[in-house]
Amino acid sequence: MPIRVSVNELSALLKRCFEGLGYRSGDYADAATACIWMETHALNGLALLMDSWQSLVDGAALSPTIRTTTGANIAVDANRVSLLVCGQSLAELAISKLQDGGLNRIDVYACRNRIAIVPGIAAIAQRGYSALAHWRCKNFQYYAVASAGNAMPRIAKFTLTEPKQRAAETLHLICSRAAAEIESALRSLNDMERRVTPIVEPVSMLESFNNSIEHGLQVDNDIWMRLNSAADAVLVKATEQSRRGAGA
Amino acid sequence: MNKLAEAVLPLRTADRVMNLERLGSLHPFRLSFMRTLVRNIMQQQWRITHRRFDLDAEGYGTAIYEIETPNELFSFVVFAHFIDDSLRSDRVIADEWDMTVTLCEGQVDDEHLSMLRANVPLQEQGRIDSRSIVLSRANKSVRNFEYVVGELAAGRQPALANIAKVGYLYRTTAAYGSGKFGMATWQKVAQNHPDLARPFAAEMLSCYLIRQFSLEQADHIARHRAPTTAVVMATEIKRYFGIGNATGLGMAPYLTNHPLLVSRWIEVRETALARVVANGENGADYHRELGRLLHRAQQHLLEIDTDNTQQQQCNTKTADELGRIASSLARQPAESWKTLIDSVANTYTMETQEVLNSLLMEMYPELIDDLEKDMSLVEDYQLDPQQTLTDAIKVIEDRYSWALAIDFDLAASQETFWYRSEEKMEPRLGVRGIDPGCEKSIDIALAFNIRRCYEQLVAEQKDAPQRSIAEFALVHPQHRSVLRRIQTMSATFYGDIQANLVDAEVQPMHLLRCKLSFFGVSKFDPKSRLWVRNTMFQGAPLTSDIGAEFKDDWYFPIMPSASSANDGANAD
Repeated sequence: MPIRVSVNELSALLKRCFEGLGYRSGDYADAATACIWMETHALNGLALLMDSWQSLVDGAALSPTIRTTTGANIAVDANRVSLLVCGQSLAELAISKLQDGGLNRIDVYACRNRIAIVPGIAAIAQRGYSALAHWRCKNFQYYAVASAGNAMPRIAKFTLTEPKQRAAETLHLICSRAAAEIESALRSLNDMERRVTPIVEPVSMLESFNNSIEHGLQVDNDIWMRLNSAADAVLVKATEQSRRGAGA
Repeated sequence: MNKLAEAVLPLRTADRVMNLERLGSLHPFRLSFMRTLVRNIMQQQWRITHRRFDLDAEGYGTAIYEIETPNELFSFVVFAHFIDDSLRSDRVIADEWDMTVTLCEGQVDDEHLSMLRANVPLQEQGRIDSRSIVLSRANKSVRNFEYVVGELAAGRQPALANIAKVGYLYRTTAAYGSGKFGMATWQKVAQNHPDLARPFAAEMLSCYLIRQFSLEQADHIARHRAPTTAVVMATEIKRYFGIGNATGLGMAPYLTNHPLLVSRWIEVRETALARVVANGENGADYHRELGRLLHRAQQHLLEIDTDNTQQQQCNTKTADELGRIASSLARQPAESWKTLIDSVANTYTMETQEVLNSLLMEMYPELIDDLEKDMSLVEDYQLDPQQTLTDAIKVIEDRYSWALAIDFDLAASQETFWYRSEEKMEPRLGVRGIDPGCEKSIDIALAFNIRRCYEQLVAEQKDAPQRSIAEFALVHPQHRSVLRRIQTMSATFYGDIQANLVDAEVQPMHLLRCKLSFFGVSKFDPKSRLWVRNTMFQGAPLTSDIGAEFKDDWYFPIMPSASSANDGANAD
């Protein structure tokens, strides 16, 4: 039985939920923001959260580390942190190295939930930069791309003829002030002009977002209960003494 | 706000204004949310009518008010219940109330009403949908309600002295908005409902309508109790009734979690004051008007009935000081409002200073009323990823020296912790080392978080002064939120509230008072340092006043004269 909740309500619950799982303040706020962004933009943020539940429970204390920085290129070891948690930080890192021209490239290793980079890509575009994220999974090359000022990224995949096993858990993020540079990078990625299948159309993302604001979101009751159960970990047992702490 | 135009105004400094005690001394002013709402209702002549008023002889049942604004229609749905006296509580953890209400968009049909009837009385335990904007409840002030109904039924008007003591028939204990329990999210309200697209406008409208219902319910019960002798309440007495409110710690985290919004509210208030100081005429007419207002505020404060000795002393002292200012001005007019404000700042308490500021602003609607539209903003806390560690350290030293000055090695500096109780997630205070739950404390210790972040920045800056904040925040997620806040707030004029909220001596009451002053409430009656009773809309026009000439002068309400109070009895 689904339950209808508002965007604000789910957002607040997700923050408490990640906090209840042991995430630190910067992480739980970012993870909740990424999850709600995906859920309101037809990218099934809650399903991703449920699918990754155990690894998220286990990974609360982990943080990415920077392996190397060479000019505008940075290699990050995500240490198996989900991009739900660190996607926003990676987006900020991508912007940080931008100079007046050229590309900034971040190679992220050992990361989970790579589709969760999409809210970060959207955030980069909202700040007036353009970005491309791409990663490989099984036989497919996935990418998410957004131009400066365009709030809805394009997310798509195409079939690889020679899949590379080593690409698992790796993601590449490219950022630029110039949209043309990013479009050029995208063309290089698909230099064989293989047939592209959208994961979700930008127009559907926008429609989903507007609908979420207008009517709220439908959440499966089991998921709702699970989130609330995790969120309850931040609450303190009530006693007569604690009631005095509220002025009673 | 037009930053360029306002830049030359002599705004008071952040160090002076954002001090917690100062914020706790603020009083309502022209741009407080209740004032703005009532101005809009009266000036735009909203139509507020009964669509349904199905109450039994005891006043229990259902009422629906329809509110037609120039832009749209809202419905205010009231369920009036019987509850046992023993279950009536001001605490948020109560689960039965005399009245439960919701404010909805559009018209409510039978199917919608059935859903609301099944859920609104449950409050936090129910689920409603995005057609609802506010969910609230209120309890009778039993002694007052029964007294008033008894007097009306006996053909008498209630005594003004009694109303001066308790100026309401009902007290609200919560008004939920912002998408809780399935309701419309704030973004929807802001986009779709221009009449409610200001901070707390929908919540204030709901409280105004609770007051309206409480007055009509009292008349209704009296009429049914004694059909041959009952009189309706005199209009002037109705106006002197407000709606009570009990506010606790729940309000405090809101202020600390929305620093951009709070900073904006303060900036608007201070801009209004600066405009008055810079451009307000101060001739004889204005001195006469200020004298009248000072005496009115003085009387208002002296009419407040509170058991809280400290508040009583504060009211008496403030009233005395306001009288001294009035006398002084009568003898010798102020050279300018600036000289008056400076002189009062050097002589009198913060309470008196801030009452005077509210009164000065009251006299110049033409200078300040346009600022009411600036009370809203979209809150966006962004990390500036390119900032270097060196620059970040400088920002903290420049803008948060007040936080760095706190000695956190002293146990008292971290003695208090805030947490959420399992009882309706109510915020509560605990004492570190004594109360359980410290490990689950709410992240409210801004000053401490800044100190920790600063120390880490300084440690890393030695080796990498040009390292970016983005790199720092990636590997130190525990500092990411506070860095976003520091960077965002340092771009504002007033910045954060300057207080250590985990200090042993923290006074949450100041936070509550600050927010309540922006709401526009009066008659503060603290029940401890953690919660306060107060009165909303006392003196405000009634729905029956809509369309009549409107004098926007109901602030600092005082007891009406006995003769005016009896005028209009039976006229409703």
